[in-house]
Amino acid sequence: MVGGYVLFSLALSISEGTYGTVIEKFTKSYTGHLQVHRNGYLDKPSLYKNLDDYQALSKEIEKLPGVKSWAPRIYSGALASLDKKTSMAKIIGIDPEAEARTTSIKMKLKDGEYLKNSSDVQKKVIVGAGLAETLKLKVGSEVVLVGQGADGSISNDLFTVSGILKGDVYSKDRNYCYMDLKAAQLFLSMDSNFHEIAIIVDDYRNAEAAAVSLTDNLKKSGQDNLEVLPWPKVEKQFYNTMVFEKKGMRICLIVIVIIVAIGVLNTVLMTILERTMEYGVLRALGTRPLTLFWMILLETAGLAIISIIIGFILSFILNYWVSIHGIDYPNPIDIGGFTITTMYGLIYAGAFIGPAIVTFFTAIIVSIFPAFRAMKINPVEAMRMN
Amino acid sequence: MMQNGQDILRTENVMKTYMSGEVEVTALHEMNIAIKKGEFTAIAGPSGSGKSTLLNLLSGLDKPSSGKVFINQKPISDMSGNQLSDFRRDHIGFIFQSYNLIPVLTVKENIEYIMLIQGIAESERQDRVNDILNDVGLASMGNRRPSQLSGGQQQRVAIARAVVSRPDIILADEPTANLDSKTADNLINMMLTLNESKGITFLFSTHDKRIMDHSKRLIILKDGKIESDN
Repeated sequence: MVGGYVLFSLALSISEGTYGTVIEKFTKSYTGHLQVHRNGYLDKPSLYKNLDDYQALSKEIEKLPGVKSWAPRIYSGALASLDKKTSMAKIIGIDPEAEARTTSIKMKLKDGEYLKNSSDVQKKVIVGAGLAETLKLKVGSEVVLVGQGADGSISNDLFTVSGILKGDVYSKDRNYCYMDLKAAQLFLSMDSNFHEIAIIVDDYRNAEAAAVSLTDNLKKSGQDNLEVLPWPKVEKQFYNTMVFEKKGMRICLIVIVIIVAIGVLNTVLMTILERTMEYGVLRALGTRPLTLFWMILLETAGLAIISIIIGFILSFILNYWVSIHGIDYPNPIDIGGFTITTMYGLIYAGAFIGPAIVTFFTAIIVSIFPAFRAMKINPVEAMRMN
Repeated sequence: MMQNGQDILRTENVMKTYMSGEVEVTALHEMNIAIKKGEFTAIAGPSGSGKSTLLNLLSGLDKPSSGKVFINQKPISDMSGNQLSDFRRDHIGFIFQSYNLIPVLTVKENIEYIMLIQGIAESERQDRVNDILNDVGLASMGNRRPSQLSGGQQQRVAIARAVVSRPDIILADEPTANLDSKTADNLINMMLTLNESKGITFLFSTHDKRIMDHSKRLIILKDGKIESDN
């Protein structure tokens, strides 16, 4: 029973831990736990659906319980050229320091150096691996960007490649072209406007509640033309993939529950069968059949509770170890576009309560039949089994 | 309380048959026995003579095919499962050939169990356990498990368990069969002492010549019938 509990608890811990790792990696890679936009921007992005008062928004975000960091962004499409080669690029204007606090962009840098905050407009860009590959860009290369400004003008300028991101032509950020927020605002004639704020809170599971809270706060402050969306709504495809993967994992967990139940059944049956003689003696001495039935059930319940306590201690130690050190996959697996090389456990109440409920009730349910059998035992025949 | 001379146990034409394949075998033929309070009786006979079958019927562990068994004038063969359990608990003590102690319980707990299901208060249970452990010479071994005792000591615990609930009669099925002669002698003397000092009624099923020699009444069975009763 202890083994079953530990196995089930570990499976739950790793399952939640792995998905937690993927979601955390994904959200901290770029999306953030929640995002603020002008109403309708996410469904139909437009250069003109922008936010204008970063300071006022920051004040509201700052009040949010559990908020850790946030970063403003600008988006636009552009053509990037080097010599005779031209490619589509997604311009992303960022506040380098705020972005580095909010996402893992700095860690995704393969070559060169990250952007720096400056009072001057820095005409430097960090490009995705796909764009670098297509245009044969290197750190220090000068790339021409041509886009459309918010005032209707054709915007074009020369930028120096400061860094190149990791990845390949299949990476999600293959065509990204990061530049300083001020440079992007100038390039796109957006004044001090921007399109998005990505926010990180203390736990991705609190994103929904944080979004509701921030929406309320913004409405109260008169900013009711903004939408605050948690990551499952921003990244619907990724979220649906996660949900689908979790459903698949649930089948594995059901198999584990069945294995645990069979283990418990085996333990209880063996215990009861081995003690048939004892039950015969108890019946011979005058124990009522129903008393014997309840005795067996109580004993099984006691055994289950002891197993749960020992299992809890062992699985807590094991889950904790796995949550810190992880277990390496023999072959990396891909979940929702993210490659996972190590599975980590997650310490959460469900990983201990679930196995406790399964172990306890399985033990009770599977002991009913043998207890009923013991109740009907013939004492003389049972004592012959001595 | 039963008066001396009154039948504590009685059978009326008790018969037991069972099927061996398609053949009906009669283990006991219409048997009539009466045991009085304070008797120290041995039932002897060769294997297959019906000793154990008779003891099982007398204790209510088995039901006769016909006839009746009375203990304290109550027909136990007509009782329901719960009534029979309660009756065994309150009126019959058992001593088995293989001791049949509960291995997970200590000596004290084994002795105490029957009083627990009788609903006796804890303080009285403890008193009675300590007294009986003194009587059977195991006062220092109360906290041991049966596996830590010799065969003779285990059988003494079984005797203590049978006596402690203060039953009307103790039914002992080959109680010395698994013991060496010295230990068997000690146990027989102990049971005799209990019989004489406390008036406890003993009924043995036995092959043991020493029990037969010490018994005050010897019933010999053969082929399911009483051959002699002296």
